[in-house]
Amino acid sequence: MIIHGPNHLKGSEDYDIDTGPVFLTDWYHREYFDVVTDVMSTNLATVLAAGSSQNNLINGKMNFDCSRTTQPCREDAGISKFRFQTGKKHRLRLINAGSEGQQKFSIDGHNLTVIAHDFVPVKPYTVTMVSLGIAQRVDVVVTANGLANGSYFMRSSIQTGCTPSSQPDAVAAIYYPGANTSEVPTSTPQPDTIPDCTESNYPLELTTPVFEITPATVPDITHEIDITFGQNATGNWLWMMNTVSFRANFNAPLLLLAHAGNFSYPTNWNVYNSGTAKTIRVILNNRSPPRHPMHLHGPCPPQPPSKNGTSTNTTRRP
Amino acid sequence: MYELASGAGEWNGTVTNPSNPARRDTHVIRGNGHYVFQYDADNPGVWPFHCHIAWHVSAGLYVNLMERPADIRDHMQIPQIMAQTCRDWATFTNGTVIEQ
Repeated sequence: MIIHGPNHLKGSEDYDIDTGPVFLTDWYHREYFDVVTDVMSTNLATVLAAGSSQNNLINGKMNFDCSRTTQPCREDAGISKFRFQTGKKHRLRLINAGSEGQQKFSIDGHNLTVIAHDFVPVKPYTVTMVSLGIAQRVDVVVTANGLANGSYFMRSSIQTGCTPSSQPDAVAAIYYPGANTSEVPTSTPQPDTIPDCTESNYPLELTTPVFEITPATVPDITHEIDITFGQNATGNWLWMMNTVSFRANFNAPLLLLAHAGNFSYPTNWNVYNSGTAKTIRVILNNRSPPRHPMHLHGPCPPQPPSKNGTSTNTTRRP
Repeated sequence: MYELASGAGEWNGTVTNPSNPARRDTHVIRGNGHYVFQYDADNPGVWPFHCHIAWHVSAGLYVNLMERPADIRDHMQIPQIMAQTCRDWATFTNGTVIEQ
């Protein structure tokens, strides 16, 4: 499903063809529950090894060396294939829908013009490689200026400096109209311009949202939250925010309790009540070595008012 | 969310591009670094804010940000289908132990 936002593109920045979603996903041969059991074990070496992926996929496909597994495996499972029309501008909606691996994405011989971060239109900028943390989406426009009978690799690689993987490199094939679609591209990779994984985001100082919004200079309330990693009373390794590792009670939904006027909750539900604040600031400190793709539900990326000039004040469910 | 600042170590109080800061819903905070964001309370509710690495959120890297609680209490309509789901779940878990 594609949700179309306001079209902010004009003239030479517009695109001709919507190539659609391009899912980038690390892939694990173990069941999720088995991985999680190891991630929360009492043995730190087990914890650190658990997140290592076995493959990396573009739109769900990538080959695998079957000699590396005892599980059922098919040689030459195949890769995803895309078609480019010569001279046209193609919009690719990149999505990191994986579990842990930060991705760096590129197309051999082609530039990427970035037009949106997480559905927020940004002033376009052109690069050869983009980085996506888990859950991030980056929309790029690619001008098909390759050879009319050319074929090129699309590549996405897990940034192994921060996430281990025994097969971090995914490829897909892009074919121009005159190309033989049964042949494998022989194109040359882009230079690696994202050699480490200190920060996955494009620099904030270089990012300009197309629809300008100025937030309040002084917020009504500020929460300061520290991320830490440590062991609980049974020695299991857990993640904490302000020293509390979140637990849900699925039999006592928070929203239902709040609706009933109950605003007093156990500490491990990790509720930060902003009361009547109209603007809310969070200062997040990561007091752990790995990076974390922090995702906020609820407040949609603000968009300009609709045509009649009013914004809604009702609850949305993103 | 407005992405006000990010970087290594502690925040020095400076906001990046204060008149039109970057906005998105997922920001990768660097190891041993800071990330400062802000949002407008335009959507009453209890909203998850969490690490999107699957097993980090499973291991507790999650908070609930409650926004405009009085409006949740006084004005929010819990859909009938959600209330029914809660009742069905309560009945189910009354006789079944959930592994979690």
